[in-house]
Amino acid sequence: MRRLLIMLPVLALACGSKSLDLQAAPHITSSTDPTVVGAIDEQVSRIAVDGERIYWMGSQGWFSTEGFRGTTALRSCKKADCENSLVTYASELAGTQFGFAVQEGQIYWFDFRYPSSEPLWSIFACDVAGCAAGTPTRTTPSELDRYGRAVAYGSDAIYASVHLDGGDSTGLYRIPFPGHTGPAKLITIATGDVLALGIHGDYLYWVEGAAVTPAPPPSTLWRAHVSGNETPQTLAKNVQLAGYGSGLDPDYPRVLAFDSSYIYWHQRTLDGAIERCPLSGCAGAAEVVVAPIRSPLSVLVAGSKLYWIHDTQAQGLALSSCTIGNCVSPELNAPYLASITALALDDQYLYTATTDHAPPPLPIWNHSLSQIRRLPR
Amino acid sequence: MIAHRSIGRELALLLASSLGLAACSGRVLTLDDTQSPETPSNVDAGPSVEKLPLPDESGSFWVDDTRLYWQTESQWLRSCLHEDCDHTTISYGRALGLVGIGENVIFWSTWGGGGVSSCPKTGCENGALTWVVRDPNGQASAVSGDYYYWSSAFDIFRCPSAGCGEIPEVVARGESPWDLKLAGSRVYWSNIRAAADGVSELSDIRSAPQDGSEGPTTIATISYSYVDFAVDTRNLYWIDQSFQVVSCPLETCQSQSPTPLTSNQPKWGLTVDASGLYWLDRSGGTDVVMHCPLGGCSSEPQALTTGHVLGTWSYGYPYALDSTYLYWQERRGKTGDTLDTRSVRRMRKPTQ
Repeated sequence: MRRLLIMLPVLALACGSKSLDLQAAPHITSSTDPTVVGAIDEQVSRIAVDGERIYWMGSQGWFSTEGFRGTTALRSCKKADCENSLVTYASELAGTQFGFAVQEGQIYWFDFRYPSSEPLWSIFACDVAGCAAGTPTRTTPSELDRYGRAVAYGSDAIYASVHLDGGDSTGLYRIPFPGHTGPAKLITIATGDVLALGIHGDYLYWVEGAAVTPAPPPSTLWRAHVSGNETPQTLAKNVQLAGYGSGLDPDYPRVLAFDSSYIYWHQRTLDGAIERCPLSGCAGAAEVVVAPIRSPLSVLVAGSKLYWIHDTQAQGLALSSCTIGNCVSPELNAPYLASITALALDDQYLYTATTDHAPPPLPIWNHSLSQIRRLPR
Repeated sequence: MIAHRSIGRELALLLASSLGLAACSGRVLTLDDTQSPETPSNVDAGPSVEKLPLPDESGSFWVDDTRLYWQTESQWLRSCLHEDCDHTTISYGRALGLVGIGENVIFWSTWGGGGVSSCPKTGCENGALTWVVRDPNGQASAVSGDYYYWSSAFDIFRCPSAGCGEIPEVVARGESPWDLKLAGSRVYWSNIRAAADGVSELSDIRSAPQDGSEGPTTIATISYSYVDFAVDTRNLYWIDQSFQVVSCPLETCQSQSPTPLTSNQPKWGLTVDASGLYWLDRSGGTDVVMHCPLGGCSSEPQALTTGHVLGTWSYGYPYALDSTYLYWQERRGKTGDTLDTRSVRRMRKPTQ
């Protein structure tokens, strides 16, 4: 069974209409560097892998003071021969903030653009070898034809938070992958904004708060059984999940990470930290796993290792890690990352994407080249 | 799709507001070339008002005791000596806005995700500026000495002008200010929180030492949000919901009712220094700088400016103070609809 890999949250958002050749395939080159799977003339954000292929969202364009201007595509290539095995699933995504998932030979993603210009979600799917007749299949249940906030991908279903009509509440839904039984189901209703969503085992976890400026109050961590048959539990209060602005996308869903016993999250401030609570909830304050970290932006747990992407003053975005329980001196794994979301694992490697240098200052910020890398775990 | 926000721009502008320095939103303010450069009748009408010409059209201006600072229409940050602007003008760099004027350096917000740079006030040697910090979450900010203070997400930080390094100094944790002010050796800020009814909002005015050596304390709780407040080393001042300026001693503010200092004419842009309280009065349809001694207006507040002070700025106040003078820019022309961006007026501040 192909392993589903959950992508980390968003960096780029497409809002422009620069005249680019949208149908043009990116230029992929191999490298003598054994850690480089391929060098691609796109800004790579979000990565997933399965046994054979590596998948990514790639953007061509630039950031300016007005946001991202350009186009975003969803692509893959074979790990062993990336240069000659490119597949493009979608070439004009409205954004990358909701990621994608690979499951049993299918790739699933959200897009905003179908069936109209209204910002309603739709789920699309393709075979990982390529879309039938070159066109993705739309698989959205009618319950989800609303504006979305956050997404988590499970092993057999997609979990999504959507704004409910007539109020500020948010519905948390389970949508089985096509081919799996059952209709879309409302699991529970959150009374505030869902700032982060994660699935682990039979429980859906989320952070609920207010994504307001200039003073977002601390948020609350919840969980609910995916059956929807149990009353949701409060796991932790005063979760200072993040600041409200990455400077690129102030509204991106933040990330939760899991191991067999704990849920992890990050406090995204300049004096930030990665914290955790037992999956059943914190008796008191959350445990600080590693601190201080300058603006941790995403987190991933792999066995006893904790990985996180964070900001640096001199090297742009960077990937660091430590062994949980021994995080006094974290290891810098890779500087100059291409995005805050480019992080995935398989059994042997950690995959990320880097650039040659830290991004130049705005207003012209053009990641035109990324190296997809695999680093030993 | 979600529009990108220019947080750095807001940061800079909010800071200027917090300092009580003049700032504008960076909107283009142009002279009407078809108009003759008329001077409003009030300008130079009395010996107390001086007109300081600028070599550029300014989008906004700031002052200290020796220099006049302005941002050009093309967003260059420049300064000159008060007394001889034409021959002493220097440029610092392109800026989203001036963040603050320190003792020896100036801080400004740069292009690039909330970046702040610094440079000696006398000019950057060989064009080299210092990258102080980059913080896309930065909000309210202020400058004291040669330290830059700002709020970010749930913390208040500070950095020296030489730069922060990876992790800035923490002044206070778990705070979410929307406004930040400095007085004496302390930082003051306002946190907004929900009132007990769950609908209305309150403002907690909080304070901590500038070096973060002690935890914060609550100075006062005010029954509405986004309070226009000012502070000195003895008292807290704010514009209350009936547009009165009120005050209370810092030590006892939480436990006593504030004292009204002014009438309840509509006002905004409150600033305090040793010479008294200043604010803008819009009751006559234009903004006029008003003044009261610190002890309160014995009769009516004194209108210091009688012309059309620019009154539609998105952020900051359209006047500035140094230790001796009050500065402002005025509209010009018969209809008063064009800002005179090529000069700054000043007059000596009233004595107490």
